[in-house]
Amino acid sequence: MKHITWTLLLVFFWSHSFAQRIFVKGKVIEKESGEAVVGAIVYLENKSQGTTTDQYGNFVLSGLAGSFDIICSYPGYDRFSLSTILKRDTSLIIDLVSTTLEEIVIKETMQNRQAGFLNIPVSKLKKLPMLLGEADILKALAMTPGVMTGQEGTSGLYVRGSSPDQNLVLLDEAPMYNTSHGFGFLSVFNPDVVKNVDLYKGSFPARFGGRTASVIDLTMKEGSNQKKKKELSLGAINSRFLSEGPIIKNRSSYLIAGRLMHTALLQLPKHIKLVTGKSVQDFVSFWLYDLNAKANYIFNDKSQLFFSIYSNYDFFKNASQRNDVRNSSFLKWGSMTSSLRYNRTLLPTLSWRIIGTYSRFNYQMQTYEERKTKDETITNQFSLDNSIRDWGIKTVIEYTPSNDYTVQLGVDHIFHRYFPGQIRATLDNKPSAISANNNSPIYTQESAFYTENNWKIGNTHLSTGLRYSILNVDNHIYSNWEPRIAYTWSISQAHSIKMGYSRMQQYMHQLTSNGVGLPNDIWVPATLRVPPIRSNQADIGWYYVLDTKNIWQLSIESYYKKMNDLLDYQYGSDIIVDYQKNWQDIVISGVQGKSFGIELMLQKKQGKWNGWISYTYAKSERQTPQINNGLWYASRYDRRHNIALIGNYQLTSKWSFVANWVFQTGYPVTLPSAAYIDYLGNLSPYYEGRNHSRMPNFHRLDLGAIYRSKNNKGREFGWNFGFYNAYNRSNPYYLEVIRNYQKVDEMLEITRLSVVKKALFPILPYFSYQIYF
Amino acid sequence: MRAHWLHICLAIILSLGACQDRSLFVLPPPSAKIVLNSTLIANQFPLVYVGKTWAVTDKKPDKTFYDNALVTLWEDGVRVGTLMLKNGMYELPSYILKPEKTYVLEAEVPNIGKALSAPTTIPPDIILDKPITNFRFQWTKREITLNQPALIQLVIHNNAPPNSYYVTSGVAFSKGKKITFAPIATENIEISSSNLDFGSNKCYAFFPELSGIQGKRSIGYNSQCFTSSEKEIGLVVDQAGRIETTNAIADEIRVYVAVYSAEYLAFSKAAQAIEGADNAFIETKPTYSNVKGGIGFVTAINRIEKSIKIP
Repeated sequence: MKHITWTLLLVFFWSHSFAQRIFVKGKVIEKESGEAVVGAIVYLENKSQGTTTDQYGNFVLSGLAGSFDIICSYPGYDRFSLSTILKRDTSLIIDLVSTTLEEIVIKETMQNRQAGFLNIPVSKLKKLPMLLGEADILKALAMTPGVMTGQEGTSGLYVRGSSPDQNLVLLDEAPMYNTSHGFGFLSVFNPDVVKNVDLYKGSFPARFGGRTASVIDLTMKEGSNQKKKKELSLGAINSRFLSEGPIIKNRSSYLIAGRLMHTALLQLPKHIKLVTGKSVQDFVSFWLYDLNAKANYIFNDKSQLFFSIYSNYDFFKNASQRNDVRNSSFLKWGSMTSSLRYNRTLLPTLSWRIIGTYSRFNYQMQTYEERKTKDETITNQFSLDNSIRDWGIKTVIEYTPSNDYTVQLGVDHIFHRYFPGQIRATLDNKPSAISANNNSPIYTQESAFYTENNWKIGNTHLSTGLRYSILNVDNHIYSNWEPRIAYTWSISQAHSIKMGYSRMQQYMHQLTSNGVGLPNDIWVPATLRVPPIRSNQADIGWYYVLDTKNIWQLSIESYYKKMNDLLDYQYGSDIIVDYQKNWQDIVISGVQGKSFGIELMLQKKQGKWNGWISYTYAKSERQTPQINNGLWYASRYDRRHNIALIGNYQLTSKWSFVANWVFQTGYPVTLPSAAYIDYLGNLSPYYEGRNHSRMPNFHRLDLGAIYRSKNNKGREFGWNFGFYNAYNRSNPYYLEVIRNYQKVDEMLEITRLSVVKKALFPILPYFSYQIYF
Repeated sequence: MRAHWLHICLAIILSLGACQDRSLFVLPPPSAKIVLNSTLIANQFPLVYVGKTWAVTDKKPDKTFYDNALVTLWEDGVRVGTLMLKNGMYELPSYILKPEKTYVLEAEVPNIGKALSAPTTIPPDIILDKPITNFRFQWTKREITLNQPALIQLVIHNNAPPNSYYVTSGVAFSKGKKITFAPIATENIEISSSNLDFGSNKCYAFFPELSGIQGKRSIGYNSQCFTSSEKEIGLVVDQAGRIETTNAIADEIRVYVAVYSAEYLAFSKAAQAIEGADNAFIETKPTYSNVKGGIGFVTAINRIEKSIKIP
């Protein structure tokens, strides 16, 4: 308490020392919808001082009383400029209008952001052709340097050689634990409702913590507070809808959006047979949905309340039934996140925010068999439940005494409840195992206190932060200081150098099935036996704007990351296979990791032709005495060469085309190194150690076309169509070692082994139709 | 018309999505390694396989063994002799392996190298009381249908090194011929291998079927779990079944008991490699080898066989 009082006094005196200055506290909104614009550049033209709007569209600028020339710009919108004379602190709303011009000059876009930061407009990410024509923001991020997906059909991101669980995914500031829909074939984020995506791969601001690899900060649209709008998109597999509009014009708005996979309808006749007890063979059904809703209320120009909620659900069922035998198995998983946020401007220079969050993820797997005999019905059943649930609260005070300095002080606290897995098994009507693995709920509390300071000194920008994080688990306290520093030196208008260092601490682990996007990836906390993950990362980059209009940009970044106390599975172990055991008995803790990479990106941001080329050289290794005799080995997240070519071409106002090509070195995999006759006299594969081999290289070309027009009633509509995997490359999902048998002397004998590439997707056409009301 | 078009597209997409490529992936040839496999059985002469390795995806060579290896047997650090090749196996008929002796095998192949097995000790002779048999056994403990089950109670006096496994099995014979086709040839009364926690129970493990019946495994009992120096093991054996296609009633039951070292278990567990679709989800295990400079597995066992005539 004493410390807080001193801090507030310090803040007051600092504020007083700048009393001669005028402060403009403002918000940038899109004129048509009233939506806040995130990441817009606002600056004083004659003073060369500026800032960027935050997640809520807010900014603070200051200058000496007198004339102000305020400029605001954001890609896709007309430049805003205002010349005025100000004598006192002022509030300002900047309305941006969608542009019809191609060329927009944006200052400071690259200079004022730290190394490892990336923001690509959602509108561009949405255009990239994806599986089944479903725009996928997470997968689109994987086409940027240093970010990649596991394999085809997975949506977890590997950022700079780390596993997907090391990414902090925030949706309106609430953490999300599951980003995979449809067995990982698409991510859970509905592209229609995402307004902004910020990706931090390094030089992390101190306000973020709890993960070690990246922060993917997504902001949902708020909904137009000006006019009602509806969108409907019909696809072959999925359909989407969106509805938004004002609750009270200029003051409050809502947004509701949803997606539904309707493939289960194809199985409806079989489903009816199943329910009515008729004979059914090979019933397979899968469906999913997700639903976003958001509302906000502007009390006055100083305070605003936001409420957002997101829910998703996947359901897979496989069943068959004859007269006397019924078999079924299902897998269902879903997550929910919600946040309630209140922002208040206390002074023009001082704002306060408080956020309550709720996050939950759970899945259930069940197999069921029922056999009817003359006398009785015999049932065998196996089920596994797993969940994680968080309640969180965070608050932050932000103080901006000048254009050159901002400080944030914040406190986060999360109550976690982990349920790593409850097993129920019934064999021949008798309970065989109930919670046999002794995995009862684990309650932990995670807290963090941080300060984040941003200085602008001449043509340099310095961001320093310090985060102190604490975990309370099993009456044991883990804590760590996490220093952060990011430095940017703008050598000229065209060139800048950036560097940074971050220490991150992660108080949870994910027991993962080799990165395949199945939901049996189980979240577990750090415990007395399994310590938290710690990482130290340093990165440096050079940024070059090739032309005066900021159309061409080139960046080269390099990083080195060291990780401690990672987890790996023991040989042949898996949380499902070894369900009798406590999860702590099947993992190897204390695994060391290191990763290194060079990332190159050339972007053309504007023009009829636009897009980017990215190349990453990366290395990611692990070491533990229990694997490969203690030698460093390539981790599953190791991809040496990654190339992505993204191209958009706007042919006319109605037609545009997009193409992307990706290449990845095959990922490390454990394959046999030889064939031999084993001790039992059988032809067998010989496995030497972990990840000695590599999958075949992965590459794929996707082509898409977009048509937008208006129908006779003046309603806008559009068609998206194209080809996923246009040249029909067979990219294996996994390799299967097969034993080939032949009859030798009346006995079946293995005569040969073969390794078969199991690929999922050949060339896949896609289309969807959208209509806007 | 539009609905019809949607259905056609949907069908095409779904059928394409269901395709799975089955093209082969060729793995490069390995550097040549010597394979050394042997079970050194007490009171028998040594029989050793010295094999080759080849590329995983290559066809099995006509000759999988080296015919020019120099194979030497060492007993308690003293050279016993050189084994000679016969029918693809190296043997030394003039020498009988002894219980409680430690053996090492060495195989040298010109231009390939030398492989040396880890020292392995043959367990001491098994001390077994005379089996007690109940030929009219009524088994109600488990819901399994057996053909005229007989209960055989074995009392083993443990003298094996710690963590050894006593493996038991029994099989019925009719006129000297093995009744090979029976619903349940042998069942251990103490534990069922279908129990969910069998795999994680350190007191029991699977071993090769001692009676030689294909497709079955024998259960081994960890000597560490014996509560005293004696252990009573109950076996339930079918007395009826089929020999080829003919129904047969047993006139004799043969009981087998063997003692294995814990190392066999390490080999056996690793041999159950995670393959196929499972490999997409679970890290496979490295193959267990106790051969230095090569690959393979050499272990030592002791075993006995008892015949029980059915009255």
